[in-house]
Amino acid sequence: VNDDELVLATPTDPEAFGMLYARHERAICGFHHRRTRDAELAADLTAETFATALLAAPRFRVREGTPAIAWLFGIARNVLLRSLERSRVEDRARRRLGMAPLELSDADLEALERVHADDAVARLLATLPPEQAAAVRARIVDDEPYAATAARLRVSEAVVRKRVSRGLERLRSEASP
Amino acid sequence: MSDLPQLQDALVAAARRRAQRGGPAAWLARRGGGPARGLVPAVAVVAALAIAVAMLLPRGAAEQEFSSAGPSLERLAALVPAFGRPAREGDRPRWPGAQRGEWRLLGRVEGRRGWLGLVPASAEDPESLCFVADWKPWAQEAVECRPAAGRLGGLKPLGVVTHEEGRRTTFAMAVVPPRSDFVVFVTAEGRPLRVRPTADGLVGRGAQGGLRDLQFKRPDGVLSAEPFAFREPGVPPGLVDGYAAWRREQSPADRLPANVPARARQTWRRIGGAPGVRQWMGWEDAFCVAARGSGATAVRCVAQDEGYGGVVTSANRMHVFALPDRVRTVDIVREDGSGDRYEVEENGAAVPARSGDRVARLLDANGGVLKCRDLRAGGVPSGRCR
Repeated sequence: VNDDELVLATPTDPEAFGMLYARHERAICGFHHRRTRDAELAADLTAETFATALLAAPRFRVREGTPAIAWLFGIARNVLLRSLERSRVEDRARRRLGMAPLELSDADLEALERVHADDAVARLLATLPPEQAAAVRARIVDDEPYAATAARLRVSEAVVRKRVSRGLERLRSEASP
Repeated sequence: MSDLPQLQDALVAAARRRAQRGGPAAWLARRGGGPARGLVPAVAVVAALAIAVAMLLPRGAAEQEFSSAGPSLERLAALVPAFGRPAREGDRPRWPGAQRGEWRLLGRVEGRRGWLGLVPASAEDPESLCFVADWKPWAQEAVECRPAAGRLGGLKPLGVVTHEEGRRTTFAMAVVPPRSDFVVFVTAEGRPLRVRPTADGLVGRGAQGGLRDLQFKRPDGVLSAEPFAFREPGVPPGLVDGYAAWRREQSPADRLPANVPARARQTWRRIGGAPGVRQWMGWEDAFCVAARGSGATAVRCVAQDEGYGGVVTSANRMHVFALPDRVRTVDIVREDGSGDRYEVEENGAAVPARSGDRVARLLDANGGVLKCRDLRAGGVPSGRCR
């Protein structure tokens, strides 16, 4: 079942919307987290995004070139911008649906921060050539000794060091303005 | 696996409720009315057009999102200065009532980014204070402000605020004399939450499930069921008429030891200190501090040449130096000549010490060595400082 079908089925099949949520929660939450740098805020914006999508689902029409995920991200962006304009998190859809505000514990928030920090690392590493990405992840992210990485990748330790060095240099140059 | 399963459940439940109410046709019928309602179909057409336009906007925005990085954080920050950061001193919420009165940042509430403020209930009655809490500064949501004057022993500026949405998190706030010991908030389940007031005597606390009560302890350590008059510099005059009292039976262990000198009784505070040991500390005619263990053995605090610190002499094994607020680090020299460095706790400074220990140096937050005159300027009682 693709995303379009899930959105179309939502008005009569609540579980379809649950599936859509499960598929894209992390992406939507990541979208908001990247822009707010705040797990709690991102979670509330995510809730409002999906609540808005649920309300809008009966009006969703399949259009070529505009998949449901684009529709969902469009809603996310609008929710974010409206929240910024009003200086408070948009919550009209959530209220209209009678959904209680999210109650997140500090542990929940820490878990969210970890998830999206990992996503940020993954995005950074994706910009590197695969062999450099593997070496940087092993050494910097996983804190693996050079010798262990070399053995695992079946290359010399010097090669691993060179890959890490080049990978970091490349990330540094891309990060600088 | 979902990172926010509770949100998934809530959404599915909401979807189920909507499905039970009917599909799109029922929704349109509710929005536009039936065919027999004259002008209503025209309204429905206009509404449908508006919806169509609205639907186009997100779609266009989505394409834009995929083709660009979206709005920069800098631009967003320029739009809303307080967005995405904790509240800072000088910030002020944006709801209309918040333009009045004074706002003070109280720091984090229950581990969250939160700030609390106080506004006059009316311009004509500036002494009638109530509190407003903003537990998510970026959300800037108003909260109900319900002064509880007289409810707890006549303490006027005391309010229990509940979020306007009826969140289960409830805040309680109070203005207490700056040198009061601690405030106990009682959760709805009856669990005590102890909080130390900030230097300016404000304190706030929130708790899941709500708060049921506030309990206060007098600064001299005596727990009393009777409110008592109290005035202290720093508290707005006319606002604090008394303390609320403990509602429970006093515990002998909570009473100030009988052998504390009379002149020091008003400035003694109980601290947590060593594990399993109830300790008290205070200052006499200098800020030098004595401490006692659970055995209520008297201790003596002898001021040093530098005018700060002291040698704690007692049969008790563990003692505590209490230090002025400006002190952030303390170097202690042991009797055998060895030394230890301690980072001072934020709330006022307690470091473990043993009999015969001597304070060698006190450092401020910038690593500067504090002299006697520095401490005096910071409000340390004069006397032994020389």
